[in-house]
Amino acid sequence: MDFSQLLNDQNLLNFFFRSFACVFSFIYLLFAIVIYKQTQMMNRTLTTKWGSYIIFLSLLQIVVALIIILLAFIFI
Amino acid sequence: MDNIKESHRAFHSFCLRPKIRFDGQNKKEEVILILRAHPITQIYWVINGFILFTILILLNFILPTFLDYYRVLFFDIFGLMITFAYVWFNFLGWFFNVGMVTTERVIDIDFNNVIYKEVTIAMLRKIEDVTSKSGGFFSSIFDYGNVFVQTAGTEANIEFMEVPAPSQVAKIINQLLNQ
Repeated sequence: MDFSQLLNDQNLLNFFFRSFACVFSFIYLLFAIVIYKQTQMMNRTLTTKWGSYIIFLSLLQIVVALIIILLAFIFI
Repeated sequence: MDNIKESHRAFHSFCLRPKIRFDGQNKKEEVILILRAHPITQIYWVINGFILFTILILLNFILPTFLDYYRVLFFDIFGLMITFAYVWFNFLGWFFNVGMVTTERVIDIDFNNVIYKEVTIAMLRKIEDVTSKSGGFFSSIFDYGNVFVQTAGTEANIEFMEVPAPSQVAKIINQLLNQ
């Protein structure tokens, strides 16, 4: 099997795209969880009137990360 | 100090008498001043965020030629979230990195890369010298600079970097010292 055949192989491209989607979605979810935990800690250190909005946005990031993982597994 | 009313300037980077509480605040302790880095010093990540968003939009003209609808949709959502994550990470770093002046002490809270927390406290009665420094073209135009709070002996010194109105900050701290 030569290299050009490998590049043209749709199955191989599908595999790489799906692997990329799953792995990076999972990494993003971990990042979102860390940011959420740190946001909670930062808000405890400094309590402002926007604290609840900031925590909400960080939580929303986790929700979207889960949606992205779902999309990666189901549709890609 | 009692006649100072609540005010917020420069996108809440210079806040007098803010309604804020912090971890370890004493019962009778009042927050007089909250400082953050001047917003103009944060312009780089705002611009980077716009650039990332623009690149994502431009890629939408190229990707549909070799990816199907669902993959383009996934790529768009993922790209948007990466852009949001970058902007949000930098915003949190700016928002929670504060310098505080209270009726009892001067506090510097640093969250390095959001993960590492460093809190430096100097009691007002231990402060020996307050110096404000401002230099450069943009510092002069937008009135921001550094404030150095020197304490006695082995106590930690505090630095407020790139804060708005540094001379006014030094004035407020000196007024509290003279009370």
